[in-house]
Amino acid sequence: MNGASIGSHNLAARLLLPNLARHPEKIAYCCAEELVSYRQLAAGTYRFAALMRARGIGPGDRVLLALVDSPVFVAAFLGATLIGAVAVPVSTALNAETYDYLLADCDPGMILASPSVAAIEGFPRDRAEIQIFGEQLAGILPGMAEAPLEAAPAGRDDLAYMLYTSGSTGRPKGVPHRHGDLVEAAERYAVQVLGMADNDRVLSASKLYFAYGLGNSLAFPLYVGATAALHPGPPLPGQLLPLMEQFRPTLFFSVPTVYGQIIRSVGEERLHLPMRLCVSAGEALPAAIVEEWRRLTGLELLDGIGSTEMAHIFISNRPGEVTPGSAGRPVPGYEIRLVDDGGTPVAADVAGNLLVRGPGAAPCYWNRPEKTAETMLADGFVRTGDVFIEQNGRYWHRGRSDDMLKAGGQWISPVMVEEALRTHPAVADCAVAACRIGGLERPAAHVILRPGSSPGRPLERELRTFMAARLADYMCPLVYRFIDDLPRTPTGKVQRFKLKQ
Amino acid sequence: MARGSDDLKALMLAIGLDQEMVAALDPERLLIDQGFDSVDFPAFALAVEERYGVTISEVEALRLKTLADFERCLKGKA
Repeated sequence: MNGASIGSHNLAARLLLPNLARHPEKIAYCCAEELVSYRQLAAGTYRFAALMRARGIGPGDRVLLALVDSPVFVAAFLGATLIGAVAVPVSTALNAETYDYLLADCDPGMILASPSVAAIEGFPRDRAEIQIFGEQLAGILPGMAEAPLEAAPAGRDDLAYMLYTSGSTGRPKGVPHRHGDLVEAAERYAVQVLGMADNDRVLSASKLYFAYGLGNSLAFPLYVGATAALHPGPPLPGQLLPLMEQFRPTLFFSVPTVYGQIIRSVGEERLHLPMRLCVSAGEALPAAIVEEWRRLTGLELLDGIGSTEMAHIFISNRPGEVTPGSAGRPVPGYEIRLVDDGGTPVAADVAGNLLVRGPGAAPCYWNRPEKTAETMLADGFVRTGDVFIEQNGRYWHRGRSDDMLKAGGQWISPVMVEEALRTHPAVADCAVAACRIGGLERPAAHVILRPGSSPGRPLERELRTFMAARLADYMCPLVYRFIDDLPRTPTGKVQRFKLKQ
Repeated sequence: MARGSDDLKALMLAIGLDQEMVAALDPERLLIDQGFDSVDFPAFALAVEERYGVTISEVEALRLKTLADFERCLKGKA
């Protein structure tokens, strides 16, 4: 029996085996000082697979990865999927309560974590066995064999990985994907839209635990046999620019907020960068950033929209045909529909709810049948919650149909921010909605004060400090408006959409 | 309304930016190199708009990289 053909639908086998046959000594990953060849990546993958098997992990079992970006993440992810288990990458910057929620939800057989995650105060240790790993792949798991393991057979519907995305109630939802989903995204977006090939060098500022980063840094470069750099640290211009100088990427992926920060970090009139193409996704890209980036670097900035549910980007600008401010045209193989609230298609130039159908869509939400039925429709279209208009085949983002907002490429549930804000003694009630600053969406708090508290800069400063101590930076309101009442429905529900600015 | 670097620093403090960072700001150096992050920039640009009743366009906001840039921008709009 031929192992490669049995496992040919297995995601890990599909991404690794062709590279092992073609160019085993080619560098797959650069991370800090470490260079990892495809052969070494495969050996690391086999060791992780052997570890998981030794711990009784089998097909369909979840393995939680709370690892910073490094070749260790990639080998652990591929090791899990190689044996048919479901890799569940999660953020490395959550609080103990959220980790506990995620662990209870996906019920993993094992946790692989970075030291910084395991050191988080109160990190739950009783839900599953936890093993800690650094960022260097060389010398990892010396007790495990690096002999090739046959890939587990993967049927059309078998799950390979699952990512979490924020829900409107603030509780993350698991989005499981099948073995073929990332391969579809790689073929249709990376190859057909970006023209990615084995001579590309890839750098993504967005991390592997995002759907965007997982495609950019793992599935795409491995699918085409390219080389990628991984950056375990935060995506700060002071770290990214030297990395670009050293690694010389041909493709760079990031979010509008980071492009804005890179622009602000350059005092000179020109910035010379090695890339052939830069990609933006995660939040709508303001035309001003596209134009300023081009003025500063001479490079095209390609905007697109994707989602965790669709695995990656499904509407994108094309190289050489960028329309600043527009998300572009559908990626080959994806169908787009804009409909009104009753589900009827809207005319061109009229804003409608964006539905998308195409390869690589998640089959469901994990453990959420109601949410699944609401979002993943019987005809295969998926509701995105985004509102768009279409003009001459190009799509333009016009906001959200729900109260969710996105800042720095990360979802924010207003509910979570409001809950934190209401714990401040001066706050009687509040609502959080998007405001646009510099073309980007940011959270704004609309606050009703308790009697005896006075609005003004001192209280605003106090609230900022109070929130900064409780929530991640990107979730903290940038603006505080003190108001007497909140817009409500007759039944008393706050109408956050009326507060959007 | 006064539009000098000290007034702008006072405004930074009023919106809760880090005191030590603000006190040490060199007006001619890039703000990002002195600790301004992706939240501080839009928060400060918005506070400037509100305080001085001016509008800063999206492209302009991307070119305001130092405290002196903000001062010059405000003088140009006076």
